[in-house]
Amino acid sequence: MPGGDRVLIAVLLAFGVALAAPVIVRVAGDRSGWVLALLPAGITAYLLSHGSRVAAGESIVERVAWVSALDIHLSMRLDGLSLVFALMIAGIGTAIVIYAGGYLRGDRQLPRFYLLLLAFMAAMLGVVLSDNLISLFVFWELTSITSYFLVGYKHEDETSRKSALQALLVTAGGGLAMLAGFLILGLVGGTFEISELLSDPEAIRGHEAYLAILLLVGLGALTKSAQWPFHFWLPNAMAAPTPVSAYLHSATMVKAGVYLLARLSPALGGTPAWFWLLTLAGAATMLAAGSLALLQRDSKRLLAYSTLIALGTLVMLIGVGTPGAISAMIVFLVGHALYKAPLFMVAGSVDHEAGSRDVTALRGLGRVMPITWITALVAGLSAGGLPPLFGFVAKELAYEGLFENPLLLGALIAASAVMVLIVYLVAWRPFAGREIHAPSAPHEAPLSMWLGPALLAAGGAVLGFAPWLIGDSLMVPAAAAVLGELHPFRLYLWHGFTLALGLSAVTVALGVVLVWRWRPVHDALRSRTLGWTFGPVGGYDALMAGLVRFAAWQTRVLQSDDLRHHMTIILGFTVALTGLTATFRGELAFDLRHEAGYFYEYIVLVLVGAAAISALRAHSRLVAITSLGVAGFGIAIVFVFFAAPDLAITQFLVETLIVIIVALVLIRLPRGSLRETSNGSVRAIAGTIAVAGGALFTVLTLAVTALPFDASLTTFFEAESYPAAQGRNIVNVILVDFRAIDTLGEITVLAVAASGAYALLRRSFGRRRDDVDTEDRSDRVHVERGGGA
Amino acid sequence: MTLPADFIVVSILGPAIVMLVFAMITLLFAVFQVDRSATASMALVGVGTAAVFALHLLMKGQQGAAEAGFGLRYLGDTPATAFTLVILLGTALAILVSEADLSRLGLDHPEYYPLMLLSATGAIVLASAGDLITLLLGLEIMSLAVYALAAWRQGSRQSEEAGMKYFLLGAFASALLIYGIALTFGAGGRFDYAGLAAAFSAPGFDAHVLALLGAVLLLAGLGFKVAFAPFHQWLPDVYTGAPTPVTTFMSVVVKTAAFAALLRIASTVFASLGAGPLGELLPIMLGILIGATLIVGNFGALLQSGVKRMLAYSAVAHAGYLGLAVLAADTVGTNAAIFYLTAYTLMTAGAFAVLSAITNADDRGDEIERFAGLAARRPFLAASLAIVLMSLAGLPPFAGFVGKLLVFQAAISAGYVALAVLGIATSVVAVVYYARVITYMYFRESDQETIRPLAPTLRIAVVIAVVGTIALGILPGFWYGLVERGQVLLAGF
Repeated sequence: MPGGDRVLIAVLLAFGVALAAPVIVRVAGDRSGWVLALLPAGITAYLLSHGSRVAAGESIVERVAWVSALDIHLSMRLDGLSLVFALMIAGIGTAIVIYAGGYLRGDRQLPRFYLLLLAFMAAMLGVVLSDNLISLFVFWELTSITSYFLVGYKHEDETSRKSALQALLVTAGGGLAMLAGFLILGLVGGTFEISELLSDPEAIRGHEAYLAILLLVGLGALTKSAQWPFHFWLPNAMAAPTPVSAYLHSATMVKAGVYLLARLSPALGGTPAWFWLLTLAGAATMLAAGSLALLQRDSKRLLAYSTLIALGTLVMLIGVGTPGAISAMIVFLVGHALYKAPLFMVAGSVDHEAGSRDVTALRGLGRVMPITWITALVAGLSAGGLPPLFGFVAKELAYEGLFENPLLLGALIAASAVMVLIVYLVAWRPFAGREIHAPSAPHEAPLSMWLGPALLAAGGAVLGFAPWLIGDSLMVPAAAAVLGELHPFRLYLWHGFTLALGLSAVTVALGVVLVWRWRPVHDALRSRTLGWTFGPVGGYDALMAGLVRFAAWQTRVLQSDDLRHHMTIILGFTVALTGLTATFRGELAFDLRHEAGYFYEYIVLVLVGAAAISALRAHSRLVAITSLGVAGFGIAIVFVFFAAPDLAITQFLVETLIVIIVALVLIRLPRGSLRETSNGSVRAIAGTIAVAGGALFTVLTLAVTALPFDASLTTFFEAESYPAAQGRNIVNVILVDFRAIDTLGEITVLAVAASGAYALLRRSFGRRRDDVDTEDRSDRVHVERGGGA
Repeated sequence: MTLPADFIVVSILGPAIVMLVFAMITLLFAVFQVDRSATASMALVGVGTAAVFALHLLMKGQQGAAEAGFGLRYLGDTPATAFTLVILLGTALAILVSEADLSRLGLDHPEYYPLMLLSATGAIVLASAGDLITLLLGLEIMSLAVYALAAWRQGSRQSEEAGMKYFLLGAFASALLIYGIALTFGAGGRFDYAGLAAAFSAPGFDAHVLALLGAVLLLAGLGFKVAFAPFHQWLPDVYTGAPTPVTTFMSVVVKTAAFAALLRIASTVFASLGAGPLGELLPIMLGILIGATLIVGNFGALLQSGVKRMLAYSAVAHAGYLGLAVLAADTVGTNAAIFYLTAYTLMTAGAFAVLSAITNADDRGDEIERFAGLAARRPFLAASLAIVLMSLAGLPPFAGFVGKLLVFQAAISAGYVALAVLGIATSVVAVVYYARVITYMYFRESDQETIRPLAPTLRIAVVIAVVGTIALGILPGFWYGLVERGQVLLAGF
């Protein structure tokens, strides 16, 4: 469409600014956070300007050929779903970029940090805007790579490095599985364009490869979104600096899996396999994260587990897939982004200003950090699902969406109760109280560090009172994009006294009980389960250890310096392969009837055989090489008998040369018997392979000679040598006439070889002269010294 | 018996003849003891001239006017010329690395560049072969020179052992190959691929078993050169023992040429056997080799503490990925392999170039600890190595990713889903060992001495490799499009 490449330009511009970030940081210094935030702010504004068109049901599609031969395009599509995600990425990105400027103030590596952070943001935008599976995958893996460097940013400690690698392996590994799924999907659907694939869902759902596609793509999505049993990388990735945790590990990257599932659900969804895979993974994630959260006292890890609960909820809702569940999913997604990012940033501010993330070590911070506390409270109430905040609206919708699945609903209520506990531990406990307890003297965070979280939290509050602000313009089109058709719904803060409201009350009551009994439960669990290594984490560790063990075993078995070992394997394998082929259907025809030879032929053959046996039985190397020489000369004599003097002469020359060269080498070898160099089993293996190989090649030779011989060349030269070349000696005619160019080439080769030999000789003579020179010099020195004495 | 008018076509021999002529010129330079950097420059001029000829041939292929000579025994079609260009690229990079490294290593003997050019000549012949005898000629010309180059560090046991081992095992593999040629000739009565394919798919053909056995031996002989497991045994020792510039040359040029030959045979001779009885046997065997290669290469690299040896095993692993393209045995597979090998040449040469800038004069000191904190000391080298390693790991947006994507796609659309999935699974292992080096460079502090300044030619080599890796990754369409629009002779059996 004319002038429509601007979405792609926005993404590419983000990459460009990312690459320029180090320079910008050097120029802007401490204000670089504010300066760089102009990029995500601008993208946010640009996206919002398209809001009305998207709300009207339009989707903005662009396509730039990339590898057109393979149907791989840089296709971009901005529809309801993409818009919500892109707004989240750019909007929260603005807050994070500003926040990071304060958080990492004066950090030596700030240029690199912003390069990676902005590149991540650009890649993330690419993921949610791509309309082509392959370009989506490219951006997807780019988020993994940039996240790897961002998680390992504080690389002084071992944990940080290990977590970075773990996150990379789990997500990039899942991503590769997803690539396999994409390739099969592309093959089945005949295109990599997502919108074309979605338009013909039956072709995919009905295909026999559907299950493989679902599992492979699901693996990518579930690892990225840290679903059970791959959830463990997310809490460990909290080793990253807080801006990274807030951005990658709550608001954006972990939602990429959710996005992919939502995006592909029109094509892949709606089947029992889809339902069970996603609801089970989501519910298991919620429950596992909910129970593991009870063990935590680190504010960031607590928030990481609450993120897992939210991600589980989202995946579960996509799995259910009804219009109600999908609408709830979209609203929950936005609600979560609006409260979780501020909570993370608040936890980071507390860590930054008060020196600890241990929620039990902090008290009374609210007195010195009032703005931070208010932000934490507003965001926290939203996270806990309390009115009048947007989190409440989202949770009510989620409950309603699950009415038809009571078991899943129960799991969500239990997990939401844990959420209330987490909110208490992160947003209330460290701030409340009269006395201040903190490792370092706390003070209020600077403007750059409270503005972003405060604005986001305020957004949650405003939308709580007025959810209709984004209802029809953003939420409904997004749900429509997932469902494939428009299902209008309205967002209300107050639904009246409904079942959902009652369940909310139950949730809060459960949460209060948890808050009340937290300390004893927490202490009891911690004392009992420290060193607990079962489950998925243990599985990952065991897998890693197993891979290393396998690699060690394989390296030990295969990596030998011994030439004989190599020969054994190569020859053994070749004989096995050919033997396999031959015995598969052994129809090798050969003719053993030959006319009896003369007696002297037999004498020579016996000689060759005896020489071979003698070579085998020899104790000294000299005997062995001489025996081999005898065998070779014997074969040359056979050539003479069968009227092939040229072959025979070649063979004589080669045999003579070999015996001379080997004898020269033998002189330089240490003395010793051949027997000592090998033991019985080695000889047995070598003998078996040799006999098998010999037998096989004998049979093959017989089979080849049984086939008719093509004598057309012989007759041609016989017939043509006199009429065409005026020569009676056929060999001469062939050399100087029929194959004159060959002969010319051979002469050239000789000349080249001679000049090479000359260069070598000249060099070695030159070197000898150098040697003499140095000797002279040393002599002179010696003389001088003698003279001096 | 008269020869057809277009039997002798000299133009397709252009690149090989140019390389041969320049090998002679540099040899004369050696005789008259001309300055070594002048010899290197002359060698580069030769490579450039040959590239002009190859480009001309490539353009002919674009117009559908690809030529072949000597009765389809020497080919000038798009795959042959594209592989020739890749070989020339690899040779140029190896010369640049050599020029920087040889004098430092004390290895700048005059016959080095002539040998390298001769080996590249053989590689070009091998890549253009349309006949088993041409194949053998190219293979031996290429190999004999490399045997000598591998043992270049005279007086070093490791290097001499490398050369000797490579020579002995190589001679052994050649014997297998020649036996395979003999059996194939015995079964089909021809040496040229076109004739063989026609004979094997002719209605009355009854020597299937013999032809298959010949094919298996051909596969074993070529499998040695491309380093399919378990024929890869020589590779780690030889790559580690040879001087790094020679390792660079071997890992890119020899591999490219051997794969070019294997791909051509697979898509003609092997493919024609596929339709006959027991036709499924050959793909099964190739599949076994490829599976073993993927596992052995990737897991072998996992535990290496020396980066050079890790790269050697990773070269084995990449043979496995390229094998997937061979298995596809069609034009799509060949095009995928051309792209993959272009990317592989750039990123492997880049990795070895950086390695040679870091290691000691005797090529030791490639332990991974030495890379600690490289990002702080030498940001350019660290970033370059990180990019080529990420590309080798197959991560986007680098060339290696596009290459892997193409071969996986070729394998999947040819129906080898299980092997493609194995390839993808072992790619995860590859991420581990490549990322380990990056982790050391970026996430660890350095306690190492500062490294010597980077030689200008080495910098050029690194820049070419890195820029190429990124450019091919972001804009793969240009090169792939050229290859894809080209013309393939001998196809369609």
